[in-house]
Amino acid sequence: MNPASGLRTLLAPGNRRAIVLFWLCRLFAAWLVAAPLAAVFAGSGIRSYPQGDALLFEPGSVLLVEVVRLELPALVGALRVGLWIALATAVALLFPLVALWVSLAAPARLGWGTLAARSIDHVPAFALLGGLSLGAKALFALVALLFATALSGLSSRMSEPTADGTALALGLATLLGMGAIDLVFDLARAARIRSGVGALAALGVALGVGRRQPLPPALAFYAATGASAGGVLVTAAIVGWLHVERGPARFALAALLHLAMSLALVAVRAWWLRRALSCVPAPGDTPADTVAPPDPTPDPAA
Amino acid sequence: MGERLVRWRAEERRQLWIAFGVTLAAALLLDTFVLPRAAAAWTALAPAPAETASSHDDAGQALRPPSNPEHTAAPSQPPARIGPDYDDDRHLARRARPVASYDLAARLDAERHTVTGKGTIRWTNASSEPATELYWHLYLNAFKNERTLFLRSPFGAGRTAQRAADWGYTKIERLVAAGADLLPRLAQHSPGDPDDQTSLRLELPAPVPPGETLELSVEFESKLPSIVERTGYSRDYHLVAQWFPKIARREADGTWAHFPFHPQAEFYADYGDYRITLDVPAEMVVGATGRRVDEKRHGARKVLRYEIGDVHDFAWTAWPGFLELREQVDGVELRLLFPAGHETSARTSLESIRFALPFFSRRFGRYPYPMLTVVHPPEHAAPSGGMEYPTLITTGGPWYAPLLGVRALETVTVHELAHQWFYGLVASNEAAYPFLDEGLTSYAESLAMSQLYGPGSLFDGHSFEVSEAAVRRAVAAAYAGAGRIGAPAAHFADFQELGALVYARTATVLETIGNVYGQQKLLTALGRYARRYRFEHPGPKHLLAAVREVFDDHVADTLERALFEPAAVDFSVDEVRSVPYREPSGIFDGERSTRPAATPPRFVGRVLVRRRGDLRFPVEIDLFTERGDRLRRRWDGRGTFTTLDYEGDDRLVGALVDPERRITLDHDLTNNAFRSSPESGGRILERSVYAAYLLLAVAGP
Repeated sequence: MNPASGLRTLLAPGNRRAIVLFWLCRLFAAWLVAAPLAAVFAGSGIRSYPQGDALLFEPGSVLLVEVVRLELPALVGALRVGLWIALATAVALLFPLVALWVSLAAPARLGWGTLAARSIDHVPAFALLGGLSLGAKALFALVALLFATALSGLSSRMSEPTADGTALALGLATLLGMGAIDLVFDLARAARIRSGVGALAALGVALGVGRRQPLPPALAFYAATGASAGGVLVTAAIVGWLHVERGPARFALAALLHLAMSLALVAVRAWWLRRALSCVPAPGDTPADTVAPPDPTPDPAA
Repeated sequence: MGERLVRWRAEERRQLWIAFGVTLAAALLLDTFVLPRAAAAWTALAPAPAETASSHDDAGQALRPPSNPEHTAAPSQPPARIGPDYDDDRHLARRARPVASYDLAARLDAERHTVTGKGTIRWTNASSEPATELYWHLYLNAFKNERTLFLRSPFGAGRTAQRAADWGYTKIERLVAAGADLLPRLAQHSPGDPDDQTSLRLELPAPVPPGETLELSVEFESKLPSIVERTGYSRDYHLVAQWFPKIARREADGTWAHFPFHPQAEFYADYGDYRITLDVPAEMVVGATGRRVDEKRHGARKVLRYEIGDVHDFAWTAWPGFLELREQVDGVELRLLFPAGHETSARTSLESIRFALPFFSRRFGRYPYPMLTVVHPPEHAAPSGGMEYPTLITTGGPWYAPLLGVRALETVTVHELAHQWFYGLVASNEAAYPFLDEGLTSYAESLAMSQLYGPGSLFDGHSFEVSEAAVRRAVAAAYAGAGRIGAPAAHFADFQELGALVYARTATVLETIGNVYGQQKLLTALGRYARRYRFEHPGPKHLLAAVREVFDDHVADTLERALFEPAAVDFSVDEVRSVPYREPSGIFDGERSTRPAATPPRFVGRVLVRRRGDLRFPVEIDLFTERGDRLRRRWDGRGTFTTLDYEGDDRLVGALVDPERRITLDHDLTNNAFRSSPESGGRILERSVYAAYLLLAVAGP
């Protein structure tokens, strides 16, 4: 795929709409998840200080530590509630995510009704793939943990940096492995979108792609993941350097940067999803013929 | 769309249920196992205070040594005035009076982890009374069996809550004085505690008059336990501390300060001269108290001779894996011993010592010894880290901590170094008054760390900084009113409580006094105390007298109350009211008194500030008006509340007590401010939403 044309396709009006929709939905979900925690901080009395909650970000963290000490049970409770909300919203976010996939796969802009109808069709398969992906990652992490435990006996014969370096390498390998699981399941989702096959069949297609041509999707996936992680780290560094406690303008700039980064994360993911779609065969394609992602059903409303 | 939903096939519905089940199970696992552990970890950082003072007194009774009527820590004489002579080093004591001196030869069996020793102990009766008995500390007997005071707790009440996996002991095999065998006269003596053999009593055949010296010939075998807190072995690493029979300290009035070894307590001993010969396997790298004066190789072994005066203990370490770094710092030969891969750790410790050694010397008197050894134990022997002995300290921590911005290594290095003054040079009774060594050391450490590293003195992660003072203050506040700082070590419920009160709260009390009444004056008081009582054994009275001398009765009384009562302080702004001014109305007898028409204020108001707790400090209060003006008032802290009246052309909208946060002892900082319309809290909401967004991006669909 030509990068320029790929970007043009990615930013086509239909895709732009789906990207923004998914971004807004995830942003709203994040607000729901964060609200209990933020409410505990806000209710701690810190807002009555002349500097307000800027004190939580001051060097030395005296007030941050104080609020955590005094509000610890409430914070843990809020975190718990937040995680349950995250679970619920993660399920709800399946809908805009499927809409993003459908939109990316469509050759032209889809009407709202068509987009919704096609998306609904894919939700059960996506839900199953999501659950299986979670289970596979948990199993992989468990195996990695058992492997690390088995290796720990060897660490007594290594120097401390070697032992810690080995543990770090093992941790990174585990993360890469979990990324590979995500990669395979994204290919499975792509197969489902392109050919409408069931979740398990789609998984079979994805594994087939992984066997035949592992490099192109892997490069694209890890490039997208790396770019996202790098972007988050750079944003954190810039926001840290901004020192939001020093004035409202700095805070506003930091908030804008965070918004931009969160949108960029969705855009980068959409870029990868489009690449994933191009990696899986459509019905009737030969295995090598997997570049253009045609939509399996025409859009009567388009 | 609803029609589509209905049209989902049975297979698709089954898929949906499976997905739901898997996700729910994962969430339940997270909620049941991960979150409670995370909460417990946080709780350990900032523990809740004990419920009541009475429950505190009852806590840990089974672990507490029985009361010892002979044990007096503080001399009964009121301390004499110190005076400005001790504001510098001109009158600093040059030498300690040698009371208990040890000339010992020790051989390490690195396979059995035993040390066999023999030699001469000279003890001088420095008290005013003849001595008819001699008390001994055999600290390693604390690890002899599970009936000892130290190991009796099934939970591990020591600072690492770790139990020895291998037993340890010290056995005196020969004890002779003037040709008489004294061994049969030696009896275990932990009053009311017959199973503990850490305190022994020797009945002397003849009294030793005041000023006379008794020479004892001794042979012993010590078996090191596996590393448990301050001593022991781990694989081929040995930290050999409390390894020889040690004579207890006799106070000036003739009473003995002896006690069984409690897991929360440390040590107390007289100064003396040490001449120690160590016979170790040749491959061992050795670090020890004192100056190495000789080293000879004998086949597969080597013999090293160490000498030092004016100390009250001798510890050493032997491990083949040590690397070494040497540097002269402030005229002191610094020797760092560390495992391979810890080069960064060693340089980090060195950087801290370069700053802290002259820093402490300037404030508390010159460091008098020509050497200092810093030992960074290997990771498998980590519990032996963070300990002080004369001219030898142990640090610790993972090699990568300095790279991550965690300043734990710097903190422990500076803390143990500060102990060279408050423990080493001012040898207070650590069992009776642990705050005199640990508390003053923590304050000194905090002072040095904040000057050296600023707000990132505990963690410096680019733009997110946590100061040691912030965490220490929070830990101290969590135990406000929970117990007495000035209690003996054995009287705390557990090491967590001791840590919070003795370490954190003492430092916070001193920090508050310095902030409120003058840090320079506080340093003058501590400097006088440290210099005047160098090579002596002062008690709390001496510290309080120094503070009284430099400050006044109020400050000294406040310090005494903070140390010896479960006293606390919490300032809060409870109310801010402001209303438009209006002329008084009603029925007046005679002429109604009114203000001149030209000067009435537009607004009047009232601010209510409370002080809860038994500690009183003067405090500033800032009043804020709608236009952003700030008016400063001062309250002397008398009474439990004060009301501040306001008159002005602008509406009063808020107040803040202690705006410079001088009173770090304040129990709750979140109630120090009041605003009629609180700020929106947008920053924390924005940051939380972004964090949740990233969470959903990583773990969500």
